[in-house]
Amino acid sequence: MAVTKKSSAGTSAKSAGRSRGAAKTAAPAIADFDKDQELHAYREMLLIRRFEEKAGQLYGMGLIGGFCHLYIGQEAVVVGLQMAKKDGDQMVTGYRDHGHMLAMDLDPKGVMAELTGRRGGLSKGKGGSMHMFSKEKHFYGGHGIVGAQVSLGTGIGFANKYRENGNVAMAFFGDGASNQGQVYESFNMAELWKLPVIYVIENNKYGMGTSVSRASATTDLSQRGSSFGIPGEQVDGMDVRAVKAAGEKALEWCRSGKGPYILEMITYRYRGHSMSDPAKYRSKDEVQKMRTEHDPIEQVRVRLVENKWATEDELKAIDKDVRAVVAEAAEFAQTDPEPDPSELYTDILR
Amino acid sequence: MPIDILMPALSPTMEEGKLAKWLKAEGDTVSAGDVIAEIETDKATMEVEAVDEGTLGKILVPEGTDAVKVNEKIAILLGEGEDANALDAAASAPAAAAPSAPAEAPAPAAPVAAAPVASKPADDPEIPAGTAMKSSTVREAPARRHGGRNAPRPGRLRHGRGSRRIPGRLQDHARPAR
Repeated sequence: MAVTKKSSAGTSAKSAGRSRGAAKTAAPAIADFDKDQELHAYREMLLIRRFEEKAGQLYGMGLIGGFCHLYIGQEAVVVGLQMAKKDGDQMVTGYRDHGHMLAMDLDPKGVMAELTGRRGGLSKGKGGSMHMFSKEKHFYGGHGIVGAQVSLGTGIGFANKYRENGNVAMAFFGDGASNQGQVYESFNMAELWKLPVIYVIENNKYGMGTSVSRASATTDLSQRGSSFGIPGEQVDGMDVRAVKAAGEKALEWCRSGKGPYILEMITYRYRGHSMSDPAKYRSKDEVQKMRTEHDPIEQVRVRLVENKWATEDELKAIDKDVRAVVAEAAEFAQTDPEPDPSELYTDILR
Repeated sequence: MPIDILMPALSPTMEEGKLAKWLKAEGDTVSAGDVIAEIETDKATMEVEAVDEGTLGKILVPEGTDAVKVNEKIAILLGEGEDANALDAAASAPAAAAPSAPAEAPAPAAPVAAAPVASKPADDPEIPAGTAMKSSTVREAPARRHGGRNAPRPGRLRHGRGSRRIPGRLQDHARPAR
């Protein structure tokens, strides 16, 4: 079957069956946000950023064991998709997951307390960032094995189809994980069975310590589904409006039974891969340029001010409010007791 | 209220580091995310970013200082509208404060966290009656791996009659991510 580069897979359901295409579909026109949407996006992204800064600080104080992967810089990806999804749609991701949990409306106190290993944490202080879940909020983890969540997310999509519940699963993974074998096994099954799964590739340009161009034979990750006929597109992952628009389109595709969809979010992480990564593989100028010219939060802030939807004082008040939420979470995460040693023998396969 | 900037731990094993360089001087304004200093850990040279915003009031540890302990106060940040008076008060406060506990916090609750809680493992049917119990926190538990030659290998499950499963270090099973 010929793969047509310019098939109208995105618009015509009829052609989708035949020349179902790994077509590089045109990015949807970006609709402007109204005032409420801008304010919502601003607050949600700011909460993630402040939370992550605080988590980094607590790690620096030795209060968080093991490793710690911050989401700073990538906030628009998860917030844009959260704004696009319906209640019931699920998310599953790797270990850079604090932002996803906050966006899925999990209690910041429970998330932070899990990072510090306290009994009030979402996994009773026994899981940390790599083992945190909330069935109620449809968040399926938080996983430590690179790329494993792609298979799991495909399974969630299978369950959605089997139960005919109309939900769509979103499986997030990074540019590094996109070279893992199980990703392609998942792609095959998802397209074969037309599972409602969105594969969200958060391409922050560096897999741990290596740039994507040094580690990947092809760097247009949106086309990684082409041999299976899964459509994909690249999205400006620093613009929350673009993310929401692309998410809505992909969700509609999946919900109408056409199978999986790939969204490659072009984004950037400001910090190292983990807290102990000095990030010597990129220049300071590059990071500074992204920060000053493409920051997802600053973009919204500028629009809010330009449209006169918020004054500097009002934005400061939001910041203060968000800081208070984060401070409360940090306080709880330091004062809540650690789990009882007897908990070592609970919640495990025996 | 001035904010203490502490020497951060930037790897799971770091206990002290060298304060290699200050990138901000006293009197400079600092906003969240600014790189304020470089420190050398046991593995690499890392940048320290500010979490709060304000003015760098006083540098307590000069650059080039070796072996600065994690959580030692390295500088004081002044908030909006604060001046040198606040600085004097902050500088005279005891330096080796508990992590995160600002000097004015009433009755810091941090010790609660560390206090071992009475455990009740006695009802575990897999532990033979009469086994001596020792109170410990989850975090201390992996210390059993130093138990000597005949101690059970961490991460191994021993099967068979009368044996019980040995909780191992999670890290031994899978170490996928750094």
